[in-house]
Amino acid sequence: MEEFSSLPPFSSPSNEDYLVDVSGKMDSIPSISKPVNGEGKPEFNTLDEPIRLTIVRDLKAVGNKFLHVLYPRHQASLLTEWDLWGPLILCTFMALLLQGRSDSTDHDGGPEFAEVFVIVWVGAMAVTINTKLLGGTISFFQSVCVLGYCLLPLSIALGLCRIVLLLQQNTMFFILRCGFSLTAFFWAVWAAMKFLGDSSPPRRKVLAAYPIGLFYFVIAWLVVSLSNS
Amino acid sequence: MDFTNKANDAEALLQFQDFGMGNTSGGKPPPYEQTHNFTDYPSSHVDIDEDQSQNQTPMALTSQENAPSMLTFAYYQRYFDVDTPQVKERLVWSFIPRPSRDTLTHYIRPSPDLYGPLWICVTLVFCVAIMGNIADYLHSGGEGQHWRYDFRKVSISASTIFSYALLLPLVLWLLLWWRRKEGDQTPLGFIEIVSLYGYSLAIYIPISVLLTIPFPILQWTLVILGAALSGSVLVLSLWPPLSATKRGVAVIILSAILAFHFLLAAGLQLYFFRYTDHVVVVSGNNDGTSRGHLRAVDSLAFDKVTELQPLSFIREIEKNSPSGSTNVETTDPKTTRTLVHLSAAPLVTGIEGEKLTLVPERVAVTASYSVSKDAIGHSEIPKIITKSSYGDGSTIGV
Repeated sequence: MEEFSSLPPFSSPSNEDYLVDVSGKMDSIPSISKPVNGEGKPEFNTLDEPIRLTIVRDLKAVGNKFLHVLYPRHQASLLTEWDLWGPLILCTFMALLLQGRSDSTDHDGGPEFAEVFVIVWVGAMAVTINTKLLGGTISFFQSVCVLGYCLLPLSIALGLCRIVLLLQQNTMFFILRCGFSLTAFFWAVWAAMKFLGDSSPPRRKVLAAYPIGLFYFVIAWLVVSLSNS
Repeated sequence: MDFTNKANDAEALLQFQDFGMGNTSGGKPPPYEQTHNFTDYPSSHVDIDEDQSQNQTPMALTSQENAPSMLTFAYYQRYFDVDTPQVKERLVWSFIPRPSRDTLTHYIRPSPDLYGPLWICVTLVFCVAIMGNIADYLHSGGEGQHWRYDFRKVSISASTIFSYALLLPLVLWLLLWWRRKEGDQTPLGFIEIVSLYGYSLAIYIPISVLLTIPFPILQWTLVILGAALSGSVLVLSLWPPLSATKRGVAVIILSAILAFHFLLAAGLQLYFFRYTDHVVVVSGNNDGTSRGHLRAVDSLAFDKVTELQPLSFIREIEKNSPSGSTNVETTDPKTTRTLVHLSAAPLVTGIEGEKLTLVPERVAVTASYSVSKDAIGHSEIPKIITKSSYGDGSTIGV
């Protein structure tokens, strides 16, 4: 009976058995949801598994990609399975921190939440379409995914700048914020080129790389320009 | 995005099949049953294989000739068919005029691209916005906490530059199309004019970086130089197609082109790089800082921060006391004198007529305008003003 409890409910003969078995075997579910088939690839049974596991697995995948961006070694690691969760998280984080306050009567001058969002997504799409038009061999969403994940260094720099801005400001701190943003900019471009560099023809590598650099430069400028209101 | 390529492959295969049929019997059904089957087989095979992609892109199939439709990916791919050295060459010759080899016929017309215009315009938009903000920052005296960047500059520069780079070529193309009657030479295409115009904006990118240097004479020299260089390339390139029919009209059109090119540069300089004043008035009644975005009235003799401070100061005094002049005179004479020191000269330059009525007696007391124009002057003035305004109950800072 212990073994049968792991099967779908219609295998149990009566309704009482079914109810008893489910309430008794909650802790055996994790072992069910991770069966490994012959090829060694995990076979996800997403219908039966708890939501917690699904979320944890997706978060792990996102975190793994973040690690790859911070230390880009494998060129294809970020490209094999694209997702847009990481870019969405980063973009929302940046837009929240960058948006200007509109409570004062005069306009604050900072970008609105939607403006940051549009710059990130439309920018990533424009860069991707440019790569495709130049004859790049990468799918649309793979490129958008990589460009979005490579915002991570700039997001970290933005967080650091926010912390620095809590202190009393002087020129030293301004130079420090510039340093953060510049480092993050070069890091982001380096990571993005590591992943996307090979996808364009060699004679057009510069042409494909330039918009990527421009994209991250504009976002780095937004990070530097962040100010107390 | 790959399906258009697949559709093109399918098209090529179909064309190849027509070739085979034409080779044997010129399009008529062949007499032998077997050959009929043979020629029929691959086309049906192609249909089955590429059925989905053909249904997705009917546009690619309807256009039988080489030019794909405007709605397909391949159409735009033609205009991004450039290599790095080609783009470099076009960039260089976009602002070096050569009467013997004009840029349009020698570099752009063989294969007009949209890569250059697109990214030059995007770069220029952000370059102008960023550099305009840096110019404001430098002007605010390097005080990081009072300066705030203005993101609206991006949208303003984007709308200006993109409308210039699209509308003017459109008008020019319509003009050429309208004046083309003989039809002896191939008319200039819209994309070619857009490409030429886009590349002609490239010189403005380094110029917009240099415009942050706060010397009006240098700024105007740069603006005129840039407009003249790339404008002359435009004129040299557009002269042959325009002067085909009537020379007088061509001269008028070309001078209009030059004028618009100069207007764009001058407009960018005046809007983004003319030093405006960000006077922050901290008043007693509301504690928050409000920032006046005052436009400068005149910038000939004095720096504008020193020019507008007395004005804002007097405004503040007026706000706090309805009968302003009497109130000011009852304050400590010493502080009044320091105020006069500052306000005399700028107000005489005539910012607003009604303010002048406030001051005349105090001008009479005065010494000369002794605050220097440079950065030391900037840092001195707020100190004096805050000191002087203690008696009044309102503080004014910069």
